[in-house]
Amino acid sequence: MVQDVSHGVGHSRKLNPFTGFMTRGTRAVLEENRGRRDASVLYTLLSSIVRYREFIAVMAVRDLRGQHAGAVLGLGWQVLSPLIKVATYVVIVSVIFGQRLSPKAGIFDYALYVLSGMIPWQIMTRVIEESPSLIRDRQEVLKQVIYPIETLPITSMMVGGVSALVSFTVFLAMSAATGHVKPSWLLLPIPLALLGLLLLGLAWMFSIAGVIIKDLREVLSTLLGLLVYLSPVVLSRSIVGDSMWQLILYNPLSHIVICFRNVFYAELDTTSWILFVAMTFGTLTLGALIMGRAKTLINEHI
Amino acid sequence: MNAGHSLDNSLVQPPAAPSSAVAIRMEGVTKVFRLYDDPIKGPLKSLLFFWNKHRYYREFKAVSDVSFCVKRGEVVGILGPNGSGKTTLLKVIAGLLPVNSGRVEVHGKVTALLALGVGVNPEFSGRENILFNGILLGLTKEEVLRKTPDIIDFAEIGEFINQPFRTYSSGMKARLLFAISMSVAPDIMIVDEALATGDTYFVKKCARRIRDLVSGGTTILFVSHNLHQIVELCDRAYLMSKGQMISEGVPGKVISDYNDLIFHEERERLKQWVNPDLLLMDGTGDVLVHDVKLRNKDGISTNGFYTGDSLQIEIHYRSFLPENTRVSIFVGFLQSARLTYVGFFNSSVQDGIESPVLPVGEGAAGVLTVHFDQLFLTTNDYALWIILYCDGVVYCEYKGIRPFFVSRKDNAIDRGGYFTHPGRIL
Repeated sequence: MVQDVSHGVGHSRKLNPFTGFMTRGTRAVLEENRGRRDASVLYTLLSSIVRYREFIAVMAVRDLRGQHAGAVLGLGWQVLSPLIKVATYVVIVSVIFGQRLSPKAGIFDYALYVLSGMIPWQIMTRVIEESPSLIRDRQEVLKQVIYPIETLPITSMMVGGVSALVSFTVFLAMSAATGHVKPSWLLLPIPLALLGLLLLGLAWMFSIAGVIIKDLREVLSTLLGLLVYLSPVVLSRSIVGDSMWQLILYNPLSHIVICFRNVFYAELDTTSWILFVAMTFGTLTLGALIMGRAKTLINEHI
Repeated sequence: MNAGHSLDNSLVQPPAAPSSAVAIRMEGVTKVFRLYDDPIKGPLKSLLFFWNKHRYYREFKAVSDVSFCVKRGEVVGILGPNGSGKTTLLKVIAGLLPVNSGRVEVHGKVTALLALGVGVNPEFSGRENILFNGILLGLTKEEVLRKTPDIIDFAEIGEFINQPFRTYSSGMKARLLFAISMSVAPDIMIVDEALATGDTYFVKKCARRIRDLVSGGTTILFVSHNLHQIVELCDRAYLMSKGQMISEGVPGKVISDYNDLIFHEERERLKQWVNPDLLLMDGTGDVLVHDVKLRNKDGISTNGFYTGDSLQIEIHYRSFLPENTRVSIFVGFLQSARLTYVGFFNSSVQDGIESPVLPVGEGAAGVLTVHFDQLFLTTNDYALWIILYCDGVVYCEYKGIRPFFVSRKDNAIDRGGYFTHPGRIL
């Protein structure tokens, strides 16, 4: 039976690389039919992201053009708002409350510290906040055509990546000016890849959950808005003291920020890395399970 | 998310004979929807309290045990009243919905045109919308770019193509969307009512394009309420009702089955309609009607009639009138949707019709029969308005009673009813 249909897939793939998913939808139906849960669902989902890269790129352009149609600055807001945020944090903590990272450190060091934390934080907040509405905002399209919904988080990851890139450029320039650039920066792709996979898993879960729970987006964005004050983004152990720092470490997102800082400051917090890797594979597996199961069923709920 | 409970493994069989000639084959396909009492908390509750999940939803069988087969290069039409499961079936074939049991075989690339203008953004230019819409329909970027000039040409948009889509006239919008849909050349194309709109010239152009696709080997599955299109385009047709395939064959035969079904359904629907009771609205009450029967040309009491056939109205009454009182009969036809008055028969003013004399006696019963050789009413729901009166004294009046349905014999669904008007050449 499945062979029979795969024959159809093979045949059409010659015609059009895109048809993979056109017929794969049908094969998914057949798999539902057989009640079989493929263990390699994660592999299937990840490979579809590679396969539809052209589709993802075109759809990303469409989404961004749609979001910013009629806006004066357009994507400029993605660049401006994180920088304004960093400036605000620095002014509040350093100038108003007069806190220092260490007795010798100045405002400039603190700005660098906040910037380095903002780089992963921006990607996280962007993806997590957007994920609940990823499917819901496109329901009219999803009802009519077979759409690889597992590729939806990629666009918000790319947009989040743009903001992070801006912060990183500023961070790089400021570090270079003060001679802070370290060889450990070459390891940056490692936490980036982990973060990408972690967010993919989270976004898969939240995008499915967001179809049913309409106010998930509000819950998540409120939570993230508060969590920034319970994270190492603006705070450090020397600012808050040991007991408060312990509380910050209970926030799972803190460890991601710590791992990124490890790379920027050439340090190593083994516990944070272990937790980061564990969280990544945990959420990715769970997200893939949920997405794989709900991929076709979600159509009944939108 | 929470299906899979009723998956039927026994239905999976080893592949049959090599079926390269088959494009779509369905065997015993059933699709059940869960209608949650609460669309938000319902799915969550049934997931959390899975041992008791049936409390939170009702099941609705949209497609039930459907089997059918479409060969490569065939154009097959699917007919059926609204809510008969046609779109669900198409979505199952397109892979948009999983099935609960049965098996679906689809050979080749499917493009489903379930609605026009999927993902169209009015702010984007026509050209951008061609790209995004084409990609969503399953073309690659280079394919879309290669086809764009043809699409613009086919849609006859001209230099407006770089203007925002919202500035287009509705005709231009429709033409562009059709042209994009028609530009895909899949192995199997599923068309759901997409051709129902648009001006005649353009619809013809699309029909030509469909024929080109078919001669190129494309299989087409086609849902439409436009019977004319089904006859013109399809090799074969299926009739669906309440989720089941109830008829199959050449379009002509299936269309006649469809008309019978619609006629039957309209009559069934009328049974639940308002005012079945004979409620006296006005009058002295000297004559009371206790039953009104409508008979068709075969003398059968029914509530469905064909334009041009005969209709006989029997008014069963009881009279309390003194001797030798003549009564006139007024029968009005009301269009039941808005109770608009569309025609009447009146025994006192019409030539050659004598007002009958009612029998005498306290509550003497009798039947008045009004016969119409040819029913002039066209396709619609109707109700009667009956008055028995004499010289300005109304004995009884009933309005909006005995609903009935009239249709054209060859096309029960066509709401724009019309009739052959009697006339002669001088």
